[in-house]
Amino acid sequence: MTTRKKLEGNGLWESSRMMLPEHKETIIRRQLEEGRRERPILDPQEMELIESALAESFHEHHQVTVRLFDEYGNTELVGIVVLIHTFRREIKLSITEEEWHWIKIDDIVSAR
Amino acid sequence: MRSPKRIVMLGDCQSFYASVEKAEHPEYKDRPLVVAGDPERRSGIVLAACPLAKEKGITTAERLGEAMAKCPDLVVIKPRMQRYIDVSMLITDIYKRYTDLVEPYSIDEQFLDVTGSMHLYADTPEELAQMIQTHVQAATGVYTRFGIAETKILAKTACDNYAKKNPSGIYTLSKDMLAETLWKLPVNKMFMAGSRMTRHFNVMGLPTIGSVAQTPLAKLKQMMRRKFGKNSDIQAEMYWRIANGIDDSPVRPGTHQVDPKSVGHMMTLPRDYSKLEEIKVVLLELTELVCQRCRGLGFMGHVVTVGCMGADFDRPTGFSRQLKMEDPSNITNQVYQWACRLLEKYWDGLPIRRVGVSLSQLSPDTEYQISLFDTGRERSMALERVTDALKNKYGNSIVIRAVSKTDAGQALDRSAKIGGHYK
Repeated sequence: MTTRKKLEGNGLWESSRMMLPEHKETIIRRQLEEGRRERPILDPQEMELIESALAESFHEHHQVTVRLFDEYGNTELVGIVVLIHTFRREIKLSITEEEWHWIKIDDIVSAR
Repeated sequence: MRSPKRIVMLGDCQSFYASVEKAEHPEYKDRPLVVAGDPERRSGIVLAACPLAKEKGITTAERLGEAMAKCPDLVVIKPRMQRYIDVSMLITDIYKRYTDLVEPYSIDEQFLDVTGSMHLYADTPEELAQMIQTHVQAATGVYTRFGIAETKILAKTACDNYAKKNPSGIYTLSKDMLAETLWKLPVNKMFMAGSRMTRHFNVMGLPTIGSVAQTPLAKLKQMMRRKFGKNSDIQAEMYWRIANGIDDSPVRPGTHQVDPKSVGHMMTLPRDYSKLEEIKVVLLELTELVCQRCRGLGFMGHVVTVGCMGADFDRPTGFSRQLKMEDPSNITNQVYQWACRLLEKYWDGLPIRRVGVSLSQLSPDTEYQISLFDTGRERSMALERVTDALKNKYGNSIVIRAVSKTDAGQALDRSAKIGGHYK
């Protein structure tokens, strides 16, 4: 690295360090693990909000934004609820005409 | 109270590999001990020597034979690289109890920025450094030294030149002390100044770090331009800043997470390889490793580089050439075909001791060009997904190519190593 980067930010140290690839991978994996979170326990009121948002989307064909729990970072999906399986506790969220997802209701942490 | 100045530390582990081994082998506590590479494979050099061994005149990187001649009752231990990585991570965890700003710089050196957290534990940086030093020693048996300063460069300089020689293992270098301390040192003690640069500085009439620091930057640039041409301005500024202790780099914990620019592997062979078929075997093995890592990272490479070097490092032979493939790829067999073209075209037939393969111009492998004629791609990808999963679970030696079983193959040996030394 003979560009200006050596003089900017952390360039001097990033260009000169000696790290074994295996060591680096361990550090990155550890950082990922540190970002790992427990599944949140929802407040009954929040659950009611989620239920009514899903029901409204289903009945009125309104778009709803659902946030899904993931250990490493939540994901968000926007779509219309087209099916609700109460016994399996799943909904079918249609994103576009061709794309849809089956979502476990327990994975939903918020719906607006 | 929060300090208005930054407080950066560089923590360095004394004779790291040797200290780890001594902590785990208390029976060798009072004996001179070295960690040395495998004597049969030309890597029989001393990787680390404990203080007792150093007292007998043994130095790092000298040949094991010479070391044993100096000290017949020397304890020689084979390296266990995975263990050293684990202990290094353990030390990172200890540092992280005192600040969340910890940046590993090598396996035995880490930067800590304690500006915001020092007041929680101690009244002075030195007191905190001593606490951490005791903590690490108790938990791992490794003795750490700390350079303390306002910037990373001064912390590193303080550690290398003073803390290591101080009985306490701790040294604080403040900017107003530079004239009486750092600047008096010969220029070869300057960070990033290798033997070549030292020679050049001496020829330029700059024998001490102070003489570099006190040359106005514009003049230093001019002097270096005369020697190295127009592109040396950045080099000049870098050395000038180092000599003056100027460095605004942050201590950045997430710094290792950047996307790689290229993925490569290189290997020193146990003997000279002079047949094309033999070189091709290691070329395939290296290509496999490179592609495997690319797949793991989710990248494809567009440019493949192959390098070969002869045995005599004083009279360098060999080549390093690159080629742009038709499409980006991380499929071993595809990349290997291109790598072979490079080898066949540029190899001059002289014996080879070192081979390297790398992929650059990386792009995410989520999208790729479908080729009309290459219908094997999906099958190769499926196959490699399975072999990668096996290797991740059971180690790289679980599935190998048949050629790796030939005399030339290195895959089995390499799978037992990290950084060229035994795991």
